[in-house]
Amino acid sequence: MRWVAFNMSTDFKEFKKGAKRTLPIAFSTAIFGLSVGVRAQAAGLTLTELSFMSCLVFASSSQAIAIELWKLPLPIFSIILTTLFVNIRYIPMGGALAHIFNELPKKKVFPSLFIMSNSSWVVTLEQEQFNQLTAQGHSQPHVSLSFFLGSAMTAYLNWCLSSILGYFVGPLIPHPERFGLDFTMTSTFIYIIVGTWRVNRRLAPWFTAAASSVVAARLLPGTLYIVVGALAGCAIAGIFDPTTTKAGGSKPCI
Amino acid sequence: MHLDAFLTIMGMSLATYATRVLGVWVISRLKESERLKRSIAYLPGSVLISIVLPPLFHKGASEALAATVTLISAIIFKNLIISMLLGMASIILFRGLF
Repeated sequence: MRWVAFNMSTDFKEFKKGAKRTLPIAFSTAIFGLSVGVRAQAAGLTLTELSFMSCLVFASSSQAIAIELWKLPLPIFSIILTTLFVNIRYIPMGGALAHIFNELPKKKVFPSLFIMSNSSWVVTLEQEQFNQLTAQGHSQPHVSLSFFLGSAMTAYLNWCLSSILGYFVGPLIPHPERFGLDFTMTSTFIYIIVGTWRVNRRLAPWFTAAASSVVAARLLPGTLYIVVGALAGCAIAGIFDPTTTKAGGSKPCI
Repeated sequence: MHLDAFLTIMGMSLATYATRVLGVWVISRLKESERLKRSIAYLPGSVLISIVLPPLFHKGASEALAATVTLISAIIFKNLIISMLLGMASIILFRGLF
């Protein structure tokens, strides 16, 4: 059975599939990467610093903000804290993929998560929905780690290369908003919302998540509003669980 | 690279990695009852709507209208590429108009 676990051709196929599914949104990542490179150069980061940051942090918005704060002497603590607040959305996002990673060895999953970003998260979620809709009764409905890695690696290389390229060609790039490419990530998210709605059709959790995140966005720093929306939506889904309204055996969990 | 730049980037890297791992770790450690499973089933949707909706309130009419176009096209065509192209086309159009 050992060869099954290391079936290179299947793994490689999955990897390629993940990479391919990521290409449509790769443009928006590349444009963002270019603009971060441009701003890094203007803010006085060295090329080494920018490359290090892109390869080790790999989180678009937080890097853009860190670069805005990059003035000597470096406000080390504020930059790190801001990064944490901007990227805190990865906590609920990771949680949403946990059921996929759950069945895989932790030794492989935790290093792979180093390169999880918006792109690979949304691509993996979409593939999971697709699998669930098509593979009824199939033994392996979940997305494979190779698929996730193919997607994540594509986004990772794209980000590192485009931001470094931006450092060099900065002044030549016109405003990226003009081409509407910055909107492709939003439209991908909206598309996935429709797919998710087809599977989860209870209104109350959606409405609660929407309302609480909009309110929280006005009150809290960074992307904490996403954490609030995620927790509120799940809480309502759990509290008003229609299948356990009668006093049955199950206790409230949230 | 100066030491403080190195430390800043390392700190950013660690903070970000912690957020990437924490959610997966916490959810995978929960003892899953059926009810909790049905609750967590709403995590992807809740995260998605929380990512998309709040920024639309700040960004103005062009984004909100383009988002509506994208939403309708996603419902009708059920095709990601079509939705992305229509979203792009409409954001260019609306930004030109407003």
